[in-house]
Parts: sequence; C-alpha cells; structure tokens
Amino acid sequence: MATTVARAGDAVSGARGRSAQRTRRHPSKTRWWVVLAFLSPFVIGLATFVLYPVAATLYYSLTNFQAGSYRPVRFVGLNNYRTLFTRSDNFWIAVRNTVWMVVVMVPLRTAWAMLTAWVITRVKRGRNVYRTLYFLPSMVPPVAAALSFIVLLNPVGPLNRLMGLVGIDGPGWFSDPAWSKPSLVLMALWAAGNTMVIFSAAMLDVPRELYEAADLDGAGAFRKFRSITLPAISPVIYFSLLTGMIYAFQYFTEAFVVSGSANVEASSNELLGYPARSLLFYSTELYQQGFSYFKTGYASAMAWLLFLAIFAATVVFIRVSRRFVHYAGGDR
Amino acid sequence: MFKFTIGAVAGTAAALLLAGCTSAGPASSGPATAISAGASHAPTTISVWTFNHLPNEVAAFTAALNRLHAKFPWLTVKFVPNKDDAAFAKAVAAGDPPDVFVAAAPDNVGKFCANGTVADLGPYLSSAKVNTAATFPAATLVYTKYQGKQCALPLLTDAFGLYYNKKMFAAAGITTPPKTLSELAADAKKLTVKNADGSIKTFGFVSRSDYNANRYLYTGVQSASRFYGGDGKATFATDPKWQQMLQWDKNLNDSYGPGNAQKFVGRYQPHADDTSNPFLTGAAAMEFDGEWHIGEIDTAKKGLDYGVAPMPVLDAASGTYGAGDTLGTVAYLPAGSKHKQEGFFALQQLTTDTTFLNTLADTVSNIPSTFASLQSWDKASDAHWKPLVDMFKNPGSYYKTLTPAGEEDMDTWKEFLLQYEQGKVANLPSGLTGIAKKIDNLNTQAGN
Repeated sequence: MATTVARAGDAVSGARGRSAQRTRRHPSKTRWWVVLAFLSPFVIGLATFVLYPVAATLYYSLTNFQAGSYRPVRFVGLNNYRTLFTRSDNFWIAVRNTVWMVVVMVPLRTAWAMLTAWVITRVKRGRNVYRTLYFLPSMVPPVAAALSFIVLLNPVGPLNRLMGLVGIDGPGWFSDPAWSKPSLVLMALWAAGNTMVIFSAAMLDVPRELYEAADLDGAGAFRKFRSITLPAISPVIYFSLLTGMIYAFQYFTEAFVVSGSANVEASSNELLGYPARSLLFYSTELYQQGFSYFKTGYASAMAWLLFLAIFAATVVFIRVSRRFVHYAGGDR
Repeated sequence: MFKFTIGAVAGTAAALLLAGCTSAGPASSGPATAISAGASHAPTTISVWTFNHLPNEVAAFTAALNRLHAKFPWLTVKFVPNKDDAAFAKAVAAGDPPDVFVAAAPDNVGKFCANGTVADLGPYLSSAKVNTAATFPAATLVYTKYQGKQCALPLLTDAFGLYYNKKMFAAAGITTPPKTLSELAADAKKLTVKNADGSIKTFGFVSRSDYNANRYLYTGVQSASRFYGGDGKATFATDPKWQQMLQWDKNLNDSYGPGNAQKFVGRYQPHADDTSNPFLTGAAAMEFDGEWHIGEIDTAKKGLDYGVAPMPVLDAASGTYGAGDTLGTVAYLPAGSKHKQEGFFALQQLTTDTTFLNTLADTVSNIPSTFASLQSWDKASDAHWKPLVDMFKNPGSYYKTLTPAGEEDMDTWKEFLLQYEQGKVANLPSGLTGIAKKIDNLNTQAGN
C-alpha cells in the first residue's frame, strides 16, 4: 500500500514536475536569446572597455611590450615589477609625492569643506548666496582651474603683487619645489565646493532637538559641534575621505597642466613633475613611462600596483572607519 | 546562459588580447626604392603629421604642400598638425600610422629606429641618388642616424648660442663676448647689479639647467665631452671634464647668494619665451638660447642692442670654441606606412626643397637644414644669425648620441643636474658614477 501510495505520489509529482519543467524550459528557450540581445550592449561594452583592458594590462605588465615597436613582445615575468621596486628613483619619488597628497590634501580638503559648510549653516541671511559662491569653483573643469591658478600664482602675478604691497616677497608658487605641492593643495581647497554642499546638507539634517537639549545643558558651540554635529555627519566625513583618498591616489590633471605651464621651454615629455620632480605623482609617472617613453609593459605594471594599492587602502580604511562612523539608528 | 555569457565575454577578451599583443611587423608596401620625379604615377593621397604649430607655421606647411601638389598633381597630401611622438606611437600600435611624421625633437630617433617603428631611409636615398653628406651639414646627420642607419631626415635645425646685452657690456667695460666658461663667470659677476636692499636687479648669467634652454649646456659640447663613449657607456664617471663643468655651474649660481638663482628660475622660467623674458626686460645681461630667440626679440623688443656669439667652452676645451649644440626637427618615414614610396617622395621634397626650407625657417625663426638652402638664405649673413649659422656648419658641433632609451637618458641626466644644483648631491664624483650607471642600465633595458 505504502508502495502504491508512494508510486501514486511519484506519479503525481512526476507529472507535476514534467509539467513544471515543460513550463520552465519552454519560455526560457524562447527568451534566452532575447535576454542576451538586451544584455549584449552591456556585455560587449564590458568585454571591450573593461575586461579586455584589464586583462591586457595584466598581460602587458609581464612583457617588455612597447607601444609603436615592431620588435616581438617578450614575456619577462615579474621583471617590470622588480625594476619598479629596485631600480627606479622616479617610482619612489612619485609614491612619496602621492602619499603626501593623500595625507595632506585629503584631510585638509575635507576639513575645509566641513568648516565652510558649518559656517554657512550658521549664516542667517544670504545662506544660499554664500553656498552658491563656495560651490561655483567646483564646477570649473580641472584644466581651466589649473590655468587660472597659474595666472593667479604666477611669480609676478596678482597674488605676489598684492603680497609685495605689504612687504612680502612672494614665492615662485608652482616653480619652486618647496611650494609647488602646497599650491596644488590651495587649489584643491578652492574647489572643495561639491564636498561642502554634501556637508552642508548633512549638517542641516542633524535633529534640532539635539542642539536644543545641549543648549539646556549649557553646551557651547564647539562642544555641540564635537558631540553632536561631528558624530551625526561622520558618514559624510567617511565618504569624503574615502573618495578623496581614491582621487588623490590617481591625482594627475592639475599636476600635468601646472608642470607644463611652469616650464614652457620643455617639450611635452620633459615637463612631467616639474619643478624638480616635486609634482611627479604616481599617475604622472605612469603616463610618462607609458606615453613619453612608450614602455607599455612597465606602465601596465605600475597601473596594477596602483590598483592594488587603492584596493588595499580602501579595505583598510573601510575597516578602520567602523570605529568612528555612526549611522542613524545605530547601524555601523 | 550565465556560463555562456561569461564564456563569450572571456573569449572576446582573450581574442582581443591576443590580437593586441601580436607584433606582426609592418605591412610591406612596395619596394624600398624612390619614385622618379619625372615618371607618371597613379593618384595617391598620403598623410603628413607634424607636431604643435602656430597658425603661421601651419600656413607655411600648407603652402609648401600645395606647391608640391601643383608640381606633382598625382600627389595629394592630407596635412595633420599637432601630433606628438606619443600620438605617433599610438597610431603605429593601432596599425594606422601616417605616411610621414615630423617630430619636434630628435630624441626618439634611436628608439624608433631600434624598434623598427620607422623605416631605414638608406635604400630610398640611394635609389633617389641623394648624397646625404653633400646635402645636409654633418651636425644634422648626428641626430638623424642611429647605428649607421639613416632613420630620419632633418627639417630645419636649432643652434644654441650666447645672447648678450651690448649696452650692459659697454657699461661694465667688457669689449668682447667671453670665449671660455671662466671668462663667462667673471663677466657675469661684473654684469650683476644689486638693488639698494641687496636683492639682485640684473643677473649676469644664470646657468641653472632648468632655466630656459640651459639643459643643452650640459650635453657635452661645451666641455668637448661625449655623452657616451666609444663603448656606448655614459662618460660622466670617466671624463673629468663633466665634474669641472658642473662645478663651474654650481659656483656661478651660488655666487648670486643663497636662493637667488632658484628665485630667478621660479620667476622667469614660465616667461622664458614671452615679453617678460629677463634678457628682454634687463633682468639678465646674458642668456643661452636657441636661434628662435632672435625672432622673439624682433617681435617683442625690436630696438634691443644685443649680440649673439658661440657659447663659451670649458677652459680645458678652449680649442673647440665655435662649436655648439645643434639639434632640430626630424622627419620620419613610418615603417608601417601603406604608401612608403610616395611617403618618401614627399619627405624628400620637404626636407630638400630650398624654397620651402627658407620660407619655413623665416616663419619659425629656425635655420635651414641643407647646404643649398643655407647658401641661398638671406639671413645667413645677418649679424645676429651668422654666429649661429657658422656654429651649425662647424664640424665640431653635435648633439649627444641617440640611444634606444629615447629621451629617458636626457631626462634622467637633467634630474641629476637639478639635484646637484640644489645641493642634494653631497659627493659629485660618486653621484656622477651613480648616474652613469643608471643611464647605462636604461639603455641596456631599452635594448633588450
């Protein structure tokens, strides 16, 4: 009996199963190519513009490939990586300069954006005007911004003339190795408007009752900022630092434009990093190796190291950030 | 479906990867022989790329190419300016190079030649019966050849000399331009004028390698040194004249007082070529520059009373005074050109056409690069131009030997120079040994 029941059950479930299989298989057979057709622009784009370049750079990084060369491409194993670490001064200078930007520019830019946002949220009249004024520079394309600063910070330009009026002999901002990186930081602060707007929105989003309670407790402005505002906007600080860090690792455009304009005599290949390699960042060195010296394999190795460095720094930062980022509702 | 998609993506990527990595070599496009100018030819369009040009320079090129088309109606040239060496290399890598490429500087001749990127013009020149030694001054052949192969032809040239302010010379009691570097340093000190507050109003001569064209002071000609010896190795450690040259440079810059040479470079480097140029404003009494400076002075400060002389040489090499650094624009025939014969035909016409060379030389204030064009050039006897033209013709003038490392050897050397000038090299002999080794390594790697 039991066997019969089981067989009957099997028969029923078998019939259901076949039916279900039929209903499942049939539509999938007809829709398969349709789905693929809809996906194909993405798949082709992904293969051509992401997977291929990524795979190609990995392969190139293990070869002596040079763009424009007809010499056979030779597999050199990890030689390019070894050369980077052991034989290249430029590599370490570029690493140092880039780390300097990550450590100095990113926190300063975040702090500056936070400060301006805080000041603007406290302004009673004309807040929108100030916010717009501070935001506007961030809409200027980096090349145009760099060119404007080259004029502004020219050794005989308006800022130095102004400083001269009060007896200060202004430096050669972009042409003196000691001043070139700080000048770029100055430019980054000027263009921090987009981050300021995010901070401003986050600050306005902090519940008013928290400040009212703090007022009742007699807390001053600084205490309220430290104990209420700062924890409440910590996700924005985290976002700003993380995206800023990734941006600084790949810092290129401004340095490229500034170096070129500060050294008009040099041809395109000679300007990178000027003055005295103080503006030689990782991406500019990568560009120089790849597009001035045509060492495509070597530049690909640099690109992979940059990717790994950014990946590692991001993972570390995300882990560390769990200690100081507070999300509404207690989530971390 | 997921597996299929992944497979398709991976397959496509792998196919593209392999396609991109295959160095198939340049496509053959006819024999390496020249086209006879008188012979009939099927209509052909070729592309000619050049580096960055001002509008008047583009106009000079276009006019020359129009004349070429009028003379040889079968040949149409598509002229594309504003292409640098990187754009050219990318086009070669993509399998679609131009038929002629004109580069701003010769530093990559060795690299392009060693990598087979450009064609050896030897067979074409022989076929066209062009005797290079009788057509082009020897100085141009130094920077267009690599290991005996004629991989480019010169298209105008640059010669670098000493510009000096005659009025300031007279005021300082200097009657003739200096011939040795010691004399130059002594004159520079005499010509230096200070303000009441101790700051420098006029610098005699600033030799810092990162100012203006000064990097060419340190390629060897001024000290009768060769950048590379007969064995192909850098000579910085083995030729003591390099040390003397660098010490002269540092002593002179230090004589202006701490930080003053740096201030000068910081202030004037961005204006080396405009109306704020210190030689034009009187902030420098002497300056080392290329021949194009004559054109700049004519445009920006016509009445300036100045002279041009060969750049002084190291005292130990005083016999070589009159020779100097010469290098210039070069024209290549890309190995992957689909119209190599026609490309060479156009290249030959452009690099040897006297009218074109003289017109272009007038437009860009450069020196024509053939014996014939020099002979017929009206500026060759001008007081400002003559010393530079003579220098160009001087058999002792040269540019450093070109190598497969391309411009990286010069860049590496410049970085060392600047470090030394900024006091960051404590021990010059060991620094020179180190930089020689580094440059040798670059060449070894590039040659592999």
